Amino acid sequence: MVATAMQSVRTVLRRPYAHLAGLAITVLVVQQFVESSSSLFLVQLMALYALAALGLNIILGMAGLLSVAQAAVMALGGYTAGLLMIKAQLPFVVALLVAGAASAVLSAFVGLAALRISSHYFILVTLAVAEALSLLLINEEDLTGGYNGIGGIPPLVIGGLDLSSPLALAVVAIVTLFIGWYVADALAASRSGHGIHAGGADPQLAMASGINVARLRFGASVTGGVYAGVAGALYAETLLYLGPGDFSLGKALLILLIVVIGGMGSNAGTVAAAVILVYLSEGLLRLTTVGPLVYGLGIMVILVIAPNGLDGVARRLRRAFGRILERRVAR
Amino acid sequence: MDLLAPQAVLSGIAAGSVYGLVGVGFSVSFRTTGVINIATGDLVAMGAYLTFWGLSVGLPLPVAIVVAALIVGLGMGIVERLALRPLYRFGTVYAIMSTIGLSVALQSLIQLVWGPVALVIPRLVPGEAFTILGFRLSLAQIFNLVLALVLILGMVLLLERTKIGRGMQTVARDRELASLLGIRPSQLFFLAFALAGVLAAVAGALIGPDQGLTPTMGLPLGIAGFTAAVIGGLGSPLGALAGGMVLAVAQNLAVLYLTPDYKAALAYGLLVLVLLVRPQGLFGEAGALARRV
Repeated sequence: MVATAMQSVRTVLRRPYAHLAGLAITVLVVQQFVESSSSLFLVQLMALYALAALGLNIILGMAGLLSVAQAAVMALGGYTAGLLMIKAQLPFVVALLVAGAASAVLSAFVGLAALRISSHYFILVTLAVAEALSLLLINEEDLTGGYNGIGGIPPLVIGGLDLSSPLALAVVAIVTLFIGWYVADALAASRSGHGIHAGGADPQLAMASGINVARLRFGASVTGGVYAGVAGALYAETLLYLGPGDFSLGKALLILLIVVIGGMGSNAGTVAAAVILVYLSEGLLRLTTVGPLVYGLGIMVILVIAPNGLDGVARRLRRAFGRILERRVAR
Repeated sequence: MDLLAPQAVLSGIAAGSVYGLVGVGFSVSFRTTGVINIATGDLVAMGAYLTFWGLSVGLPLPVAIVVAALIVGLGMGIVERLALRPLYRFGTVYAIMSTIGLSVALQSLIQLVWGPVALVIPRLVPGEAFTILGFRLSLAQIFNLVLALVLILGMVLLLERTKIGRGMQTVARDRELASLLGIRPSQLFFLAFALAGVLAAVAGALIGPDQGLTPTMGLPLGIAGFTAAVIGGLGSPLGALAGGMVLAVAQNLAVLYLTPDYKAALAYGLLVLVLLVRPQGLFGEAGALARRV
C-alpha cells in the first residue's frame, strides 16, 4: 500500500507543470474577464461540480462502478462542514477535514458493497444510500432543518484571511479543482491507477493478473467520495445556505452526465464537460419546463451516438487531423 | 388479544404482492440481459397514468389497464431496441446509464403532460373493508393478491414450459451457449423488457388507487421492486413475490412499532442489508449471478 502510494507521489512530482500552468491561466482569465458576481458564482459552481465529477470519474470511469450517490456524499460533506461551523464554531479548515473524513466513511460503507457483490448491483446500493440520506436530511429536522435546510453558515475565512468575496471564492474553488485534477491524473498514471482501470475494464483478466480488484474498487470508492466531500464543504461556503434540494437525485445525475459526456476515464474531458453542463443546466435547462425531458433524452442520445463523450470526439478529431498531416508529409 | 400485528402482516401480504409484480418484471429483464433497469419505477408510474388517460378517453377500466400495459410494454421494448441495444457491446454500465436517462425523461414527460398535482384512478373492485375473523380486509386487497399471483404464475409457466422462456433462461445462464444452440438473444431481449413493462404497468394500475398518481411516485416503487427481487434472489418469479411480501410486512410493522417517517427508508435499508449480507437473496439459488464480478 505504502509502496504504491510512494510510486504515485513520484509520478506526480515528475510533471506538475501542466497543471500549474493551467491553474495560472484559468485564474488569470477569471480575474480579467469575469466581473459580475453572478458569473463568478457560475464559475464557482463549475469548479465544484468538476471536482465532484472528477471523484465520480475515479469510481465510474476508472473502476467501472456506477454510482448515483455522489451528490449524497457531497451533501454529507456540505452539511457536516456547515453544521460544524454553525453549531461548534469550528474554523473552516477543521470543518473541511472532518467533512472529508465523514465522506470517506460513507463512501467506504458504499465501497464495502463493491467488495461483496457484482459491480452491476453497485448502483442499487448507491441508489438506496442516496435516497436514505435524503430522507434523513428531510426528517431529522432538529439537526438539518428539514426542508428548510440550514442557513447562516459563516463566510469563508482561512487562517484569518477573509476569502468570502465572489472572486476569492472562485479562486479557492479553482485552486482546489486543480489540486484534485493533479491528484486524479497522478492516480491514473500510477500502478494502482492502472490496476483500478484494469479491474474496471476486465475484472476476470485483472484478477488473473494478480490484481486485487476488490481492494482497488474499495479504494477508488473512498477516494472518489473524498472529492465529493471536499466539493460539498466548499459548496456550503459558496451558498452559505444548504437545503436537501441542493443534493437531490437530479444533482447526482448532473454529476453522472458530466462524467459520461466528458468521456469515462478522461479527467480533462470531465472538467470540460463540467464547464459546459453547469453552464447549460443553470441557464437553458432551468428556464424551460421541458428542461428535464431534454436532459433525460439527452443522456440516452449522447450515449448512443457518442458513448466515449468529448474524449472520444477529441480522439477521433486528432486521428483525422493526424491522417491529413501524414498525407501532406507524404506529398 | 392484540390483533394489530397480525393485521399489519395480513395487509402487508396484500400490498407486497404488487411490489412482487414490479420485482418479477425487473428480475426477468435483468436476468436475461444483465441490465439493471433504473426506470422500472417510472414504468409503474406510466402504467398508472396511461390507465388514467384511457379512462379519460372513455375506455372501461379493465380495457384501460390492458391498453396501458400494452403501450408501456411495447414502448419499453422499442426503447430497448433504440437506446439500450447499441450500448451492450460497451458493457452493461452504459445501458444502465441509458435507463437512468429514460427514468428522468419519463418522469418529466408525466410532469409535462399531467402536471404535478396528484390524480386519482378508481379501483377495479370495491375497496371498502369488511371484518372477517377479527381481521379487516377488502375485496381490492384480495383481488390484487389474486391477480398478482395469476400473473406471476403465468410468468413461471412462460419461463419453465415454453420455448421462449427456456430460451430466456439459457441466455441468462450463458449467452454464447445460447447463440450456439440457435437461440437469438436479440428477440428475447426485446421480449424481456416488454414483459417487464407490462408487469410494471399493471402494478401501477393496481397501486394507483391506494396512493394517488404523482410524477415522482415511480422511484420509491421501483426501489421496492428492486428490493423484492433482490430478497427473492433474482431467480424465480415466486421468490420475488415472496420478497415483496417480506418487504411490505416489514414496512407495516415498522410503521406500527417504530416511526412512519422512515417507511420508505426500510426498503433502502433492506436492499443494502441483503446485498451486503446475503447477495443470493433469502430464497434464491442464483448466488453465482450475484457474486459474479
